[in-house]
Amino acid sequence: MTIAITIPAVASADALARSLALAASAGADVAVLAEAPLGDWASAPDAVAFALGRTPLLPLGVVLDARDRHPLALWERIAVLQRIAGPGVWPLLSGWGEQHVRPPAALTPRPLPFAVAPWLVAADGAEVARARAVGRRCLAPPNVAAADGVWGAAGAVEHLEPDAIALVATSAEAFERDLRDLRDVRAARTQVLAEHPWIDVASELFPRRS
Amino acid sequence: MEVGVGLWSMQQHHPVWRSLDAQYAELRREARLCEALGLDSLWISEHHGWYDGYCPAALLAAASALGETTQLRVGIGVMVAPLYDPVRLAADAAQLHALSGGRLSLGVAAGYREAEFDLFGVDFATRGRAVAERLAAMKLAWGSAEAPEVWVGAGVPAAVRRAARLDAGVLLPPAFSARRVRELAQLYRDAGGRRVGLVRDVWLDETDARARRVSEPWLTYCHAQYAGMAGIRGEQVRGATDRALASALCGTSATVLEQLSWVIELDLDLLVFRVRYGAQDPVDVERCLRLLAEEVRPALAGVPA
Repeated sequence: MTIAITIPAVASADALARSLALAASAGADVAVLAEAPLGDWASAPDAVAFALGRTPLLPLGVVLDARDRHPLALWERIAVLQRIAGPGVWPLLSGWGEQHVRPPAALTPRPLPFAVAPWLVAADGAEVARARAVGRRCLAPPNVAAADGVWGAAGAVEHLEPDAIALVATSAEAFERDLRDLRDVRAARTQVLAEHPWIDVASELFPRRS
Repeated sequence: MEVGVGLWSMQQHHPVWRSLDAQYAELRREARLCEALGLDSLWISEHHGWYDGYCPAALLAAASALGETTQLRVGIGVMVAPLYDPVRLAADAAQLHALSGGRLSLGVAAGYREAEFDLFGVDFATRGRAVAERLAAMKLAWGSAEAPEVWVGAGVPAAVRRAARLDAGVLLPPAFSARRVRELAQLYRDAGGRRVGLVRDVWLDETDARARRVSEPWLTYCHAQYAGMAGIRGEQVRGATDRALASALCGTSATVLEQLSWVIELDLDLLVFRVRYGAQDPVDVERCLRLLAEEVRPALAGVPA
C-alpha cells in the first residue's frame, strides 16, 4: 500500500522545502500537494513545478480539483506538468466526473504515456466503485464520514479498500500530528497487509529514493 | 527600466523538430542563465489548442522557472483572461507570487483567436468586457493581500484605454511601427495609465549578417504562426511577416543600440526583448542572451523607469 502524506499550503520556498524534507524523514512513500477538498493548495501543479527546483527528496503526487473545471483546462495542466516533471509525476483527480477521467481530443500538447495513470480520490464506497468502473485506481483520504462515526486512516483502509491512503494535514500542527499517525500506520502495516494483500500493488510504482 | 526577455512558448515545429520535454528543460536552464546574467525578468506566452503544443499553461511553466531561481522575475506575457475563472486565477497567481517571494508578473489580454473561445465555450464577442470583469474580480479576491503586478496586453486603442482604467500596466506587442507604439503609449498615458511596457523582437549576434541569417527564419515562422492564429491567410501572411522582419532589432550590439534610440525615448517602465521565437538552438539563444546582458543592457542602465 502506498502511504502518501499531503503537504499543507505554505507561503515560501523555504517552508515548502522544510515540509518535503520532514515528510521524507517520516517515511512517506509520496509527498502529495493537493487542491481542495483533500488539501489546501490553490494550484497543486504550480506548487509541484516550483518544488522540483527545490531538491525534492521523494516522489511527488499532485491532486487536481476537477470541480467546475473545464476538462481541457484540467488536462492542459496535467500535460504540461508531465513535460516539466517527467512521466513519473503522480496525478490524481478529486471532485471528478467521468468527463474528467481521460484527456479531451482537443488537448495539445498530448499527454505522455503515464508511468502512473491518473488516480482518483475516492472518499466513500460509492466513489471507490465509480473509480473502479472507469478503470482507475483510487486514493482515500482519512477521516471519512461514515454511518458509525468517522474513520481514521486505518478505518478508511479497512472499509474502502483503496489502493493508497493519504494522511491529510491542513495546518502545521495537523501536519505534525499526521506524521505521528503515519508512524502508527506503518507500525500496523504488517497486520493490514496480512488481511488485505491486494493493497500492496502500488508500492512497486513508487520505489523509495535512497 | 526593467529589462526582460521573452517569449518562451515551448512549440514543437518546423524547421527544427525538438522535443517539448527538452524545451521545458531549456526554459529552466535559460531562467538560471538569465538570472546569472543579471537580467530582470523572463516572460512566458500562452495559447490553447494550437497544433504544435504551444504552452497552454503559462503559470505552470512560470512556476518551474521561478523554482529554479531566487531573484529573477517571471512574467506571463500574456494569458487569455476571458478563458479563466477569475477567483481561481487570482488564487493561483497569489500562491505562486507568495511562494516565489513576490517575483510573478501577470499579463492578461482579451485574446484574438476565436477557436480558443470555442474550445472553452466562452463568448468571443464580449472578450474585451470580460477582461475588465475578470480583473475587477481578481482585485476583489486579492483584497489587501500582496498580489502580482498586472499588465494588460493591448494593441488597439480600446484595449489601451481599458488598461489605464483598470490601473494596470500596458504591454504593447512587438512588430508595431515606432509611430504606432508612440501613439498607443501616449493614448494610455493620456487616459491616466502609469506603466508602459513594450515587447520588441530582437536578435543579437557577432555580425549584422549573421544576426539576419540566424533570426530571419525564426521571425518569419513565428509571425506566420500568429497570423494563422488571427485567421490571416494567403498573401496577407507575407505582409505580416515582412512587417515583423522590418521592425525587429537585429544585428550586432552596436547596431541594435542604434536602432533602440526611439525606444529609449518612450520612457518605458518595462522593455521585453523577444529572443525566443520557437524551438531555436539553445546555443544560439545563449549567445544572444549574453550579448544582450553584457553589451546592450549596460547601455540601458541609466534609462530612468
